[in-house]
Amino acid sequence: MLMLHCPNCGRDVDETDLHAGGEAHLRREGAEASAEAFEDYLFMRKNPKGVHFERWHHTFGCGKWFHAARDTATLEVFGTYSAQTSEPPKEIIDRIAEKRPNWSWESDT
Amino acid sequence: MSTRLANTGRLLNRGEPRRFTFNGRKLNGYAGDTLASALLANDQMLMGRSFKYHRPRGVVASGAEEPNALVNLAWGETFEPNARVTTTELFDGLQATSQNHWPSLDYDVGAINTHLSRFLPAGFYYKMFIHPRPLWKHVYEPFIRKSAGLGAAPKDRNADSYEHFHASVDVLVVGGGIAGLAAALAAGRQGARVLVWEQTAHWGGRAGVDQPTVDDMPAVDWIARTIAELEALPNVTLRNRCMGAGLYDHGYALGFERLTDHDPKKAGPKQRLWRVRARRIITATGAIERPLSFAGNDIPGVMLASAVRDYVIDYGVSSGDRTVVVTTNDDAYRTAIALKEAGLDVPCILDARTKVSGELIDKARNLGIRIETGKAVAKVKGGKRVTGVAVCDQAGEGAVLEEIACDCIAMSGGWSPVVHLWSHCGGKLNWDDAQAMFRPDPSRPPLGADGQGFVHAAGTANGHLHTAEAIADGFAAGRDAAKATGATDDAGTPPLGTDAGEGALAQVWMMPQGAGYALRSKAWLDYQNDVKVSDVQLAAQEGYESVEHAKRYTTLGMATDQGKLSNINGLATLSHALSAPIPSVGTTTFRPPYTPISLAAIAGPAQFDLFQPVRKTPISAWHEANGAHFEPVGQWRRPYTFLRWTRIHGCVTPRRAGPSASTGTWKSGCRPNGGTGRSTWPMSPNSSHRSRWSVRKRVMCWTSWAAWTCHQRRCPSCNGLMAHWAALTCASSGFPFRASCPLKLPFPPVKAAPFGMRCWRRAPGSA
Amino acid sequence: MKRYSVFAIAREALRQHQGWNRAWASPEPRSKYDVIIVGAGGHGLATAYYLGKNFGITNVAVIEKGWLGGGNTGRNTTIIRSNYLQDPSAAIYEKSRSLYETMSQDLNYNVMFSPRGVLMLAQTEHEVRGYKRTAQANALQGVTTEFVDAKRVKEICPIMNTDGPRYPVLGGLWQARGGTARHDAVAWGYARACSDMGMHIIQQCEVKGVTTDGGKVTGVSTTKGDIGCDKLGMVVAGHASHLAQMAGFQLPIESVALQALVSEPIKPCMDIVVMANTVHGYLSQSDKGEMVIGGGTDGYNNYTQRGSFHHVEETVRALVETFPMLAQLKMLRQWGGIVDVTGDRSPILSKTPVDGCFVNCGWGTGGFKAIPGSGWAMAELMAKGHSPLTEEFTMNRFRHGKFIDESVAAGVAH
Repeated sequence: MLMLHCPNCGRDVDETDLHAGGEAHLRREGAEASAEAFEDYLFMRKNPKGVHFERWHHTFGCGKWFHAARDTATLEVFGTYSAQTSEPPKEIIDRIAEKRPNWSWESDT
Repeated sequence: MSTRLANTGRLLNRGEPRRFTFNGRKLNGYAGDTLASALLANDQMLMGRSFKYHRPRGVVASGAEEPNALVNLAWGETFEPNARVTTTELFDGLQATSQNHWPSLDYDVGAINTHLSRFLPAGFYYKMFIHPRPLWKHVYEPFIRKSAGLGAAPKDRNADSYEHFHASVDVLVVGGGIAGLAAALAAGRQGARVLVWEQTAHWGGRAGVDQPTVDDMPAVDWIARTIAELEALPNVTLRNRCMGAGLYDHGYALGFERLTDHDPKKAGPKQRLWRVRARRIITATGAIERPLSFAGNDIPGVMLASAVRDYVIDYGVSSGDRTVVVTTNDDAYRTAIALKEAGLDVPCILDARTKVSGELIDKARNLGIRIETGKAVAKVKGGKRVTGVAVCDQAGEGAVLEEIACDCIAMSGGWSPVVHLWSHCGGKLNWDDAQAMFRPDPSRPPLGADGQGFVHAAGTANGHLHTAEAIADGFAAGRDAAKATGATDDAGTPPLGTDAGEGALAQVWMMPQGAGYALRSKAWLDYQNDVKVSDVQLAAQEGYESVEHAKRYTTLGMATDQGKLSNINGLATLSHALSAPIPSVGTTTFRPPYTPISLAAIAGPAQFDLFQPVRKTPISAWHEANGAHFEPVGQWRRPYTFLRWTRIHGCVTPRRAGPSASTGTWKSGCRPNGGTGRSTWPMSPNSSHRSRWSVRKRVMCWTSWAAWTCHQRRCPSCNGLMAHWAALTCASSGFPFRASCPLKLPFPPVKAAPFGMRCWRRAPGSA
Repeated sequence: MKRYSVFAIAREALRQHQGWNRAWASPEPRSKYDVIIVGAGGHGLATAYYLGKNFGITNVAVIEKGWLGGGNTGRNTTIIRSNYLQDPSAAIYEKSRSLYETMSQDLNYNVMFSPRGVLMLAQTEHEVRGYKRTAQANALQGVTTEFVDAKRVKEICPIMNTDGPRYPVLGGLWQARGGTARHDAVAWGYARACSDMGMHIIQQCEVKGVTTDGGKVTGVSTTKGDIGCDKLGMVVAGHASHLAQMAGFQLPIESVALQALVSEPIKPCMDIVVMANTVHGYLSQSDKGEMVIGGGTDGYNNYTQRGSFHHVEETVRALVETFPMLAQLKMLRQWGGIVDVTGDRSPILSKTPVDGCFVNCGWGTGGFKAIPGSGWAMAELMAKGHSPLTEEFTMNRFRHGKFIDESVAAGVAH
């Protein structure tokens, strides 16, 4: 039963107030993109056993989207941050790197 | 004979009698009794039948770990199957009936299975009933299913109400024994918000029975003083009759509180589910005594030593006049002493250890109890009740040295910490060889959202079996937990406990050590599911080596007690059979809940009309006034159609001819039955609607439909008519039919078939 | 292999059951096999079994991280049915269901396949229409199903409350030949048969990497050393993405937790399997008497085999309204499994970008029913390079928009 901090309204919220939105930092494709690119965008997922960046919607609350960095194997939450960004803030990357020495943002992307 | 004693009974209120029935027999007990103690007081040791062999079963424990004594419990409209008598508090008018027997508890036809037991070893289902194939479906399985289950199926729901509580606390303490209370004290004094749950109606756990000294006063006094102090603290909430059912991720805990189960006349909800977010959780859940594996250890009258002691001290009930104590540790001597002091006969203590010494042993000896060291039980005599015990050397193969007449056997194979809650959410365990137990590994706790451990095990649940250590451990856990949540006040001085010193226990997993097959096939591990030592050994012999394989193959630990009594013994038996150390075999996974909790309580208040209440739009009244027939769309209702006719004339009055291309059903602008909410689609020729239609209407409707269908779909090989007609006809009338071309022509996909469907060819090689 | 029969039991009973052999061997791995299957769950073992039985390939190793049958095979609600809408799905699930019918005899191991009937409840007009459509699609596909009305539903399942209050039962899709089986026995039966053919089942052996040479798979490195192979089958359900990453490609799946629970055993009161999709719950009574209940999935990626309790609450709440007598029963145990879900809720049985490497995953919440069919098809795919049953289930179908959309028939929202 997850508990996440909503960076938009500043509250710790229960999973029942949230809606999971799947993998974050996907690159949206335009009409001119290839079938492969669209496949990547729509269907291919990293689905890692470990550090995962994901989107959450604070449905029963402020109604805004935010991002979370979470370990899918231990459910540890490294932090949550604004959804208006194409990559996680540095302090979250640093925090993960400190706790998971084998992980790096470069290799993850 | 089990009977009520005149003087003891710590928890009884003899001024308040309670009347109840068991299998229709009218019996009496007192306020404070559990159903188990009241039945024992009425000399009702036989309480049920086991699952597989229908062997007679009596009560073996005194708490939540009881696997045997389960009854159907009735009260007014309420009917609860598989109720544990040991945790059912007695109330006036309670009606209990025993389970899983026919025609009666005393004479059960199913008991023939026990005589066939050699033909029904572990996993026999997998090896039998294979040929001939149809018999499994028509003969074997119906027979097996008929004999399945324990309690009777309830007929309907009960009218009681249930509720949910939400709470958010700094420290949740699960368990109100002395360790839990010490933890609550430390955390509460520091100013943390504390919630304490205790599953029984009484505080203090086993300390009330064993009476150690805490802070230079008897434990019961210390408990009373501590409860008073905790109740005075505004930041501490105490709840008894509330069990910690499960621990989930990110500090989520589930509690199950019984509000009026013990007094159904009381107004208010029956049960309450607590859903708690705690920043730190302390599991002070105590320990459970282990049975010993010897032949006949399931005969009614063979009980855990601690349970025998509980019944005497707490409820003033003797489980038997003459009790033989069988043990591998010092703790069981307390039972012998308690029985002797209550004026009961203890003919002998059989201790599997060759050398014993210590305070408790001396005390027992001074009371004149005969102590036999290095001895074991060769076999228990008796059928529906213990009549005696055959004694042998523990080291040997079971040659009988003497027989002692007795009607109760108190056994103790040591204690296992209750590590369930610690393990629910990923906490890991270590094997402690000296105490023969799995105990929480503090370096590998369950991890919370911040990656830190959020559960502290405390007291006996942490492997500290003696009062002094347990209470100190509890206090330290409470102090650390509160500190971790940011509490800063002083925790005060820790309580000091003292009790009799105890010597080391012996690890005894089979009694006697060299027991042959005949004895091993009568030594029970799982009482409810009838799993014997020989079954686990057979599983190992057949390669079911993983503890999960052995469990599932033999059904060990899969009964309603989820292996609280049987798992460690089974594990040790398996590890011996594999010649592997116990920790390398590992444990099975602990899953919530700790003991079963009612589904109604999980559903909570959202029942009947409150289950997904209907949502209405502002225009809903207008829709209704204009004859809307609604359909659910999520939790909303949307007008499906506005009814113009309430009766259908003739076959059907479709808006346009022919069935809809998208669904294959006829579409019309009207609904036939005045919007009762029940579908009566008359338009498709499905068998389900046949009864409502005359033959003529049916044929008309069906012919036009089928013809249209065939017109739409053609098989290019045979022009479709035959195949499709036949397929659809047979399907609608329920005949098994495989779509194939009757002319045996290849049956390629139809290019322009409606609904995006195609005829597919059967795969090569398929049956 | 010592054959199992009532006579064997009787003979062994007279000699204290000393004569039973190991059901499967526990060999040390050889340095190279023709085929390695990663994952000794139902699907992996079935693949190995049909490789041997149908194609005579027996130089096979099945590698398992934990203990065989310990993943989703050992933690599902054992429902077997084939009432799917799309042709490719109906084909493989019906193949599977028909193989279940003879599985006990094929394997000489009683898997207790119990064709007691599966009923999918229609509780909205939308479902009524959908299931009627499915029933007619099934008729063309050779799958015997029928749409039954509420009265018949009540006859088939008397303990059900068909009148609501919230979602009255309007009818249901009834597959009389669907049912349940003993899940562990399926894995054990296949393992025993595989071992008997000389295949190696290597438990407690975790794959740490996949070795390739020039785009062709050459073996795997494991905790028990490097093992070579010509062909590699990845049949690891929830961990498929993890393994695919080792081989250097990505899969269009996500792993989420699916939860289930059982009640205490009671005397038989329900002889069929019921799935209620509107309210997200399914229910059957095991041969032991426990009510086996399954619910929905968590929405987030999860590898912990634990789920969130509110899903259990929702499922129980819905089922208590549909089966009021459940209110007086108690939950004995709840657990979770990791299911791998694709975009169209249909599985992937496919070649991969790595030559000689095949993948079988994406069964979502419905893998148990497919075990024999999936094994049959996967074995054919691995042995011959193509199989009519797997043609549509390629991992590239998403690129071309050739979905096999079963999000309704999958039974559980995910």
